[in-house]
Amino acid sequence: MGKTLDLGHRVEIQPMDKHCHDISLGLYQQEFDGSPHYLVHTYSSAEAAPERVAFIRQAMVTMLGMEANAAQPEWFRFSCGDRHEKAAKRAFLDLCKLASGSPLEPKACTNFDKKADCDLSITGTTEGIYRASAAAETDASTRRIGALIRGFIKVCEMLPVDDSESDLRFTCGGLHNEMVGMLLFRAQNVRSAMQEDAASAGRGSLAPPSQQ
Amino acid sequence: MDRAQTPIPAMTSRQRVLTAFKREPVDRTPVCNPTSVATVELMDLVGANFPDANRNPEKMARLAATGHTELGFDTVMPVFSIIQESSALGCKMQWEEKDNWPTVRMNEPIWKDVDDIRIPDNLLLHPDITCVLDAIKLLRKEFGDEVAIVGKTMGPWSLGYHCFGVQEFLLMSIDDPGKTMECLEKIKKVTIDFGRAQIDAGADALTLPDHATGDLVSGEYYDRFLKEMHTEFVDQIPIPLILHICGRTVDRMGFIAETGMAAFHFDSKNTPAESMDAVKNRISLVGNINNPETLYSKGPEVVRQEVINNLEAGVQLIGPECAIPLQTPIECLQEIPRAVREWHQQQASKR
Repeated sequence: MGKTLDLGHRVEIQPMDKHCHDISLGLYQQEFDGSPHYLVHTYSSAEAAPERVAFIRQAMVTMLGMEANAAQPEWFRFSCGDRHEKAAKRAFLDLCKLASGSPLEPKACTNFDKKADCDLSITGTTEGIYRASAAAETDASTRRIGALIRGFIKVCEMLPVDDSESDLRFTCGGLHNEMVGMLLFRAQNVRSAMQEDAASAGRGSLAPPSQQ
Repeated sequence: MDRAQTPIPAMTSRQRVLTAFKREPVDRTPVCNPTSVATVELMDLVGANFPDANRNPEKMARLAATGHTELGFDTVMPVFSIIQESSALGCKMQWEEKDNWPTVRMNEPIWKDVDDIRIPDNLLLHPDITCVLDAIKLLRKEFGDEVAIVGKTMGPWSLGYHCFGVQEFLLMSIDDPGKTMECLEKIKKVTIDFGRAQIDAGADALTLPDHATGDLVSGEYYDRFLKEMHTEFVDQIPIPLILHICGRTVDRMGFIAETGMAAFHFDSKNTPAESMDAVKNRISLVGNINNPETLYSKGPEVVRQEVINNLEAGVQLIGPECAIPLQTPIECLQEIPRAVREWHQQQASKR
């Protein structure tokens, strides 16, 4: 009799958690009542593993503004009922970099941008539109707002609004301020996020000697 | 091999695999991994992480067993990596961590010329060799005759890459084919001795990777340098041998089929239908579910389709094309035997 569990679709994995005995942490996805839910799971029987899983789960809930399923609290979802899978995957990998016990507080939607040399902000409106702005109006900050918008489109699968160069929205039409705050830094530095993804995808694949 | 038309009494996993190697009728197509199906999650499940699971026989056996107990394959295969012999020969090693493969530092070769080749008398006593032998014994004890145990012994071409360096070995094969043959003749003792030792330990079959890969070595090269030696291995290592060569290899499958090996483990760069056509039922095929895309990231539905493509082409044993990435989702691996079983049920219901 096998010991693996039917946890649905594994969407992401942290293969070696440096904060907990190198255990692997998986992010799983399954639908309950037509709504995609997520679960953090490890197959490790390390003593510290349950506490670590609980911390990452709480980090996902707090830092992304997700909510636990009432009947199965280990599963959690976005309140809009949408999948937002790419954002969840990216945030999961980033949150696994936090040591257990780190303070968990949603991040602000404003961050200093070195290339713009000023703060960049992204603000949600009641119509579900997010607008990016810079604290100083310069050519550099205008370029960086464009880069930020493109970054959010890649990192969070957000959509541009009409022909605007500073507005975008989520596919669900809702507001996800916690997610936007959490991934603002990644949207500012989308190339490094993609490089990290590419490096991690190659690691763990066995190449024949001729390609090593 | 008649699979879909004639009902065959239920077989054990081991019987199923060994029968498929002979291209005789089986109760259902076996699911076979001639190379590793270890993942980081399975390592956690049984407490057997890389690199220890490549060096500690208990951990090696425990992780290999999950191929059958957790994934439902008909085989277990404890030799996850391709470096055990090279380590024993004295190559510089990079053992890596849990999430990556141990590799040979081929930029620091141990041999430069044919005269440098030294096979230690006590090679089979090296810890990285005895680890494999002990793991096979443990698996035999655990599974008895239920599951097929597949070992691995590296071919001389692959060992040549490891010990001389890829570029140097290939250049030698162009500049001095005679010397290259001399090298292969000397190195083949490792392949034979380690293979025979695994038979004594209880292996049912052996994977024989010899990386005359499609990207660097032509079919003509295979015929010139390796075909005869591979034919010799069939006599010298009396157990079903599964030749493994990565990449596009249709141009040499005809030669491979003439070696007398039991099976060829083929890459997804070759379609199942063209591969079956190339070997003309002279050798069994094992494969060829794509690793880097399908198993790693495409999900069970795509895995299922590739399994069906192989079954419909008549491929005798189904499995991943090569050692799977260590982060492969378990659900994708479990889908392989599930898809095989359901395909056979569908075929039976049509009768």
